Amino acid sequence: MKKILTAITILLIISPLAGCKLRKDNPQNIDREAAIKVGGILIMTGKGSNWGVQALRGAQIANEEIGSSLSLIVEDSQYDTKLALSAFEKLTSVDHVDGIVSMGSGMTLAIAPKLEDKKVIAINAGAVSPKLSGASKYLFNIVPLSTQDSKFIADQAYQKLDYRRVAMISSNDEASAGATQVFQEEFTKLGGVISADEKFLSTDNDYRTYLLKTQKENPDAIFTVGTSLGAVIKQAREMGIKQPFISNSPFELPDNITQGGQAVEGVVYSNMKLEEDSPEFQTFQKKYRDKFKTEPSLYSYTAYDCVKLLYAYLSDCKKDLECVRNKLLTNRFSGLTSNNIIFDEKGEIQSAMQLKTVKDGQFVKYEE
Amino acid sequence: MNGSILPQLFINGIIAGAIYGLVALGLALMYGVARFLNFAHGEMTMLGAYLFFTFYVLLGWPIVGAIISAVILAGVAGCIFEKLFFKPVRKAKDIVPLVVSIGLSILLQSMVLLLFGANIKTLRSGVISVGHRFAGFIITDIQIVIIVVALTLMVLLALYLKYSKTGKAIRALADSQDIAQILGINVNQVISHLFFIGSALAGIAGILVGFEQNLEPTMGLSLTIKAFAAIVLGGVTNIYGAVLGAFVIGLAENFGIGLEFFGHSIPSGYKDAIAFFIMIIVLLFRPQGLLGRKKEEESRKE
Repeated sequence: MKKILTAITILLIISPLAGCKLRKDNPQNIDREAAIKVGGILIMTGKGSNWGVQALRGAQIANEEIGSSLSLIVEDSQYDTKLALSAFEKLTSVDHVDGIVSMGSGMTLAIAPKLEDKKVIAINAGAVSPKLSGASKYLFNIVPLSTQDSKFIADQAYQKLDYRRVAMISSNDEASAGATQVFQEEFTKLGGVISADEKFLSTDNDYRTYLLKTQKENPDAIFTVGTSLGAVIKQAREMGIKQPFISNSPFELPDNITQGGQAVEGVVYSNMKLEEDSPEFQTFQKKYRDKFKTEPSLYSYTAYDCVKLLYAYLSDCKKDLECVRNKLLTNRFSGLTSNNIIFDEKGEIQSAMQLKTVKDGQFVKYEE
Repeated sequence: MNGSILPQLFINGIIAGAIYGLVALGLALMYGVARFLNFAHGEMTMLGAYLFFTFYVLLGWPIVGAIISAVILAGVAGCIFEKLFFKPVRKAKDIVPLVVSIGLSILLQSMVLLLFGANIKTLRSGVISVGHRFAGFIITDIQIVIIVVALTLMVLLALYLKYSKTGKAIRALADSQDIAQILGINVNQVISHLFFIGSALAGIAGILVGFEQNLEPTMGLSLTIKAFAAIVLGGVTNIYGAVLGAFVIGLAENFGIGLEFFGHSIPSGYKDAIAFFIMIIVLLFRPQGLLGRKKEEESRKE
């Protein structure tokens, strides 16, 4: 009897705590009668959650703006392919969503083959693996894949920054594998040399040994992609590694500055050119800062655009899948990330790219 | 390339081993007395780190006060968990306390996730710890602190177990609970002390890890696995063996992925496998672990 009472007491203490915290962190407008339902398979816990939480917040703002005619149902993939597939099954079979916003290369690749069976469109809000190109006729990528992103930084590293020998250090996941492969191909094609290619586990927190190995052949710079880059670069500086770091679009995450601090000053990375001067962009930024007391990142903007785009086309097409697909291929949508969002047959978007850097704790345009 | 990086790999391994050792000590103590592997022990590391984060970063307490409070609270939490979850199943089959500890581990991770969120937290936001160059390697102030604190605590614990009244009671309990009870030792009280000490040590490890790396709700899991490997390698009931095992694993991991063999190095994906590979090889030749006693020796001693 005493044990049962103890167990019940513990449950009674934990449950309201869990309920309140869950509702605060992940308020979902699950209105089952809503005209349009959009599902999200985002990374909200574990490594990569920094990106996922940013995307969730962007999606939530879009949801609030659209109102009750949209129901946003978000599931946590926990940066795990199996859980992403479970989330996909739940969203399609139980919630019957009309469209999906996804994140994470491994997770998006896992659900891609199932989109046609389940008759649902998905837009990738943040994954960059080159394998996502043409992965499904119903998968579209609102961010430039590594084929654009990493190719651009490789080109700039050689032509503009004058690096000839670059070491690479990245997390051992699908997105980073694609990014480093594209970088290496482009950089060596231009005449550069890749002196090291180190991969750390996403569960690692100690990167020193990997960083040590990047120092062989004394590279001009270090290309780093993946998770926890702020911590990687900070440990590098503490080890006395002085080479500049370069990276790609996912680097633009406020957490990298929080973790890396002074260490990440001067990191140069490639990034989509966003519509930063538009009134809609400014309005979104203000809403985001007021609501979440932090700065938005790239994935806040992309997820916002994904939700708005899906809602607009699903509404116009009365949820007809082929009509939505056709619109994505032929119509130009104006969003925060671009005023010209249109996809090619492989589901890719052509994006204007730019170099950015970290200066005084802020992400700013790179100027020589 | 190998020659020039050997000193740095050695120091990296020592630092890793120091942290694993602090966690392994508590695990070895608990196994030695309570005779079960507390899978939630790594979560005490996480708890210590997050408690310190709360006091030092969120509440702005002075660092010394925050450390003392976090460590004591981690120890107290260990006692409470022992009373609530492990004491009721102490006499049950081995699998039962292990499963309970796994459940507790998941519960603690989830609680921290709910309270603090999934975002990685940092204890020294943006502050770079200065590296000092010695004889071919670089070591930061924080890493020096980690090694010194870990070794000091290990020595203090050994002295405590050898000379203090509670320490002797713990050793008596580890030899035989029944005989210890007959001799008038309060088993429940001693086990509570044990969990306090083990959890407090884990809490200290968590704070050190937090300063060196980052905080996240799953940070305890990998430490539990490494500590488990360390105590099995060292001899499950031998705390000196646990420490030795921890350093062997720390060094093996870093040398394993750091060195090149005929121009190639072991991929990082095998980092954890290196520790367990070494553990298996040692156990094949020495099943009792590096410093453990064979069962025949133990029977003869009794």
